[in-house]
Amino acid sequence: MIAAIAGPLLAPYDPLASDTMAALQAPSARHWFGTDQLGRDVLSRALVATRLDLGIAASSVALVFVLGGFSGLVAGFYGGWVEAVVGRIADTIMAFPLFVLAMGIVAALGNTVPNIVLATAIINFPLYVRVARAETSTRRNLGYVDAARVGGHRDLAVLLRHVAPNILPIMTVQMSLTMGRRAQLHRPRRASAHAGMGDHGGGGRELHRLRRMVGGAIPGRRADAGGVLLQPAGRRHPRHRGPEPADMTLVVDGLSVAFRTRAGIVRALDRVSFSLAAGETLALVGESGSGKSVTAFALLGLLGAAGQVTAGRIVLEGQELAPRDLPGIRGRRAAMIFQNPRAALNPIRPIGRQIADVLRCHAGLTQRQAMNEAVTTLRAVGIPDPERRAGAYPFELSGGMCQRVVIAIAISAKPVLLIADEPTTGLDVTTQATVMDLIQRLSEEYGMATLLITHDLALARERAGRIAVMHAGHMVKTAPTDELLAHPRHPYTRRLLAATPTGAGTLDDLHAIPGTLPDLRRADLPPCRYAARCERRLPECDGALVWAALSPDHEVACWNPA
Amino acid sequence: MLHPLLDVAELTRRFPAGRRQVHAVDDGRFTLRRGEALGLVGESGCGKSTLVRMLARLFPTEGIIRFDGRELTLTPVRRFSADPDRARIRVVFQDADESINPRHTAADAIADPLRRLCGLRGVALRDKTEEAARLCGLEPALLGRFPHQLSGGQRARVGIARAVGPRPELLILDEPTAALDVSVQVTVLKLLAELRATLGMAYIFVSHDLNVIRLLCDQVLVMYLGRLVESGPAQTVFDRPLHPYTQSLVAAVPRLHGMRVNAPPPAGEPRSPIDPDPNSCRFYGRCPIGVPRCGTEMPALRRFEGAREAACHFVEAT
Repeated sequence: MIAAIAGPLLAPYDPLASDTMAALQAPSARHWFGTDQLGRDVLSRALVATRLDLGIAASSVALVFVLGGFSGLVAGFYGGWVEAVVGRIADTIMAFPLFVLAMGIVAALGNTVPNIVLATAIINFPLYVRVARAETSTRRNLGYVDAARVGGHRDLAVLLRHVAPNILPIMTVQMSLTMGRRAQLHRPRRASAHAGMGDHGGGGRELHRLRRMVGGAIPGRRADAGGVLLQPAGRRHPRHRGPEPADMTLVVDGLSVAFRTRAGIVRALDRVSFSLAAGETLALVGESGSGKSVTAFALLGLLGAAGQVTAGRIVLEGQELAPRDLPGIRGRRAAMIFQNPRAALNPIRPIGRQIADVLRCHAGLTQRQAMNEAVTTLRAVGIPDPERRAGAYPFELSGGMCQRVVIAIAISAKPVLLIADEPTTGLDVTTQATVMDLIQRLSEEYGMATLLITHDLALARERAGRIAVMHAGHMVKTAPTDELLAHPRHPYTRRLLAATPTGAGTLDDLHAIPGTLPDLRRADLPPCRYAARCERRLPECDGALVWAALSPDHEVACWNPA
Repeated sequence: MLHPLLDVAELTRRFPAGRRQVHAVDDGRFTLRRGEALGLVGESGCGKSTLVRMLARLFPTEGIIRFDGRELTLTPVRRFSADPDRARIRVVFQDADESINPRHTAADAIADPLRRLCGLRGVALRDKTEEAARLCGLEPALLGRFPHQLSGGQRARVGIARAVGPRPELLILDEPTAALDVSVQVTVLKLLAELRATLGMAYIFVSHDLNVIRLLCDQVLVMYLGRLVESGPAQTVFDRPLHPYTQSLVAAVPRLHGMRVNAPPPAGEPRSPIDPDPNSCRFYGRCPIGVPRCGTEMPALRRFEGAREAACHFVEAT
């Protein structure tokens, strides 16, 4: 780059001075890169040409960056007719073969460097407009744009000070891409544009090669993707009690999960144990970051490359599942309902077909049978007029209806275990009630064991027979719902209840939980991860964590339960 | 008697949808006294957010918005950014994560409206920024951080500090706690209650969580498909809802204690807000009462005892 900018100063020879006596020499001490057929020094020519190339590329990119970027900003921000006009201009430019258009502009205006800059800027205009418009329109309705307007900014100030800086990174990437391409693109035209300069070496090609070299030199990304695998901790669960009761649909015993991240190992789950009988609903509750969803993902083998089960067993219907078996049960024997139903559905496939796909995959039905079964399933989840709705796309349905479709897909393979991860977050209370009624009815009807993950204790109370409270990857408490609410023994459970708004009482009756979740990346995590926030802390709390059974089905991980 | 802080009537907003129109808000009307907290509830898509954006003057508006006796709709939205009343109406936006510019620090975010609306500069600006942050329980050490370096609760506080910095008289809160954990929600609600007591602001609090509205608001408005169906003192509305829709809404809230109210949730789906029949109750079809008259005669808001209003033919005076 520096060599290119300082090209004329560095060049040992005049790039145009020909010396036919020294034509086509090999590289030597006098001519490092040798000479061309007219005896001109190749190194000098390359240095000078690169500078000109870069100059044209940089100024045309700068011009189009400002013009295209601003037009795109305005178009994306205002939409409507402004967007239509800018879009038409961009489309018109795109309609021409770009090369021919650029050459035409240069031919019409004259072969000068400014005209070449203008021509290359014009043919790139649509690219910048499109990027800027797309990026702006996704931000147009974001809260901070509204906040800036409420903050008394005029539209132009909102655009330049709040929107533009946020689309700058994307525009810069676009700029560096066209920069390289520009240097290449105007090369063939140079013969006509600067006849006086003649052909002065592959500036664009050299720049391109440089870019490739720089791109390849970004170190080390791949090295840590394969990296170190976590070793199983080898800890046995402290309260492992021999053979599992055979009537349990799901037994999770001492499950530990860790994630490898750039900032260290996150011990997301530590010795989580619970069991779930057919037809029973267990609610997992806790703050965000407590490990509720990680538990669900671990059960279905969905932890991804960074996560690993480091200890523990998962037993489904009496059969122990190794981590590699988990993907096999997914969708067949265990199904999941996700938080955002719209994201869980394929937006361009009719819902009936999406259900039929699952049936054909898991139950081996023919297309016709699967479609009939899909309609039956849609009826079962309470979608009115299922024959017609089977042809509808997800965007034609409300959030509640989409969640019913997701439920229909989940139950279509008749699973024994249903995991519902915040199934009603984002739905209205009235819709929430109907969706939860549906889940409850289906799990009774099909005898499914249901794991309901929620942050809403009140919802858990109404819908689950038992509640397990999680805090920072520990299951601190499992108890029948009524007992948990009547006699919350674990200090965290008491705090959680005290923070949950109820139908009665005032704001003064509610209390926040002191402190925050511990950083799970710390190597020196205390045995009880709640200890630092706890008001009932004892010296024993620094010893090993124990799970005490207060009654056969009421367990607490605490040295000093209330 | 002093005129109310906010007096809204015939507030209407329609969006074109092809040749037809989406009726986002129809004939919104209510009044808000100084220092009063008004809750706004309803299903998603019922027009809550549209109403909020109209009151915040982000949208062109049909109807009357009388703020402190002055008709705001006479000033076009475009010119309202330079209006002296701009600083008196502030908004706390939904989802603090995306309502703070990711390239601004907490201090930038809080200082921006103070600079723009109050014309503060230099030391005065810094002092006011820190004062607003302190009011909202943000330590000065946090002010240099970018949004992604703050926790959810801290971001919510930045959003609130930004809104209350210019000391508005009306604070509009659009689901400020929807994305927060219960524990953080409690601290934010307590902060809001405290701010209201110290600064004497009036609140319009939008939420779908009835329990939260009940904790913070004196009055409540219930919206269904763009229309107000019930209003009244928050506690009485939730204890004895008049309108069948409010009844089903209250019944659907999960409860931590006590018996579950066994009113069935409304049947079916809300009707389309595109060109709705002007002569039919919007809740007709899902309503457990639903007689033919509801399909031919739009019920008007009627007054009831205890400063309550409801729009249903079948609410009896108690």
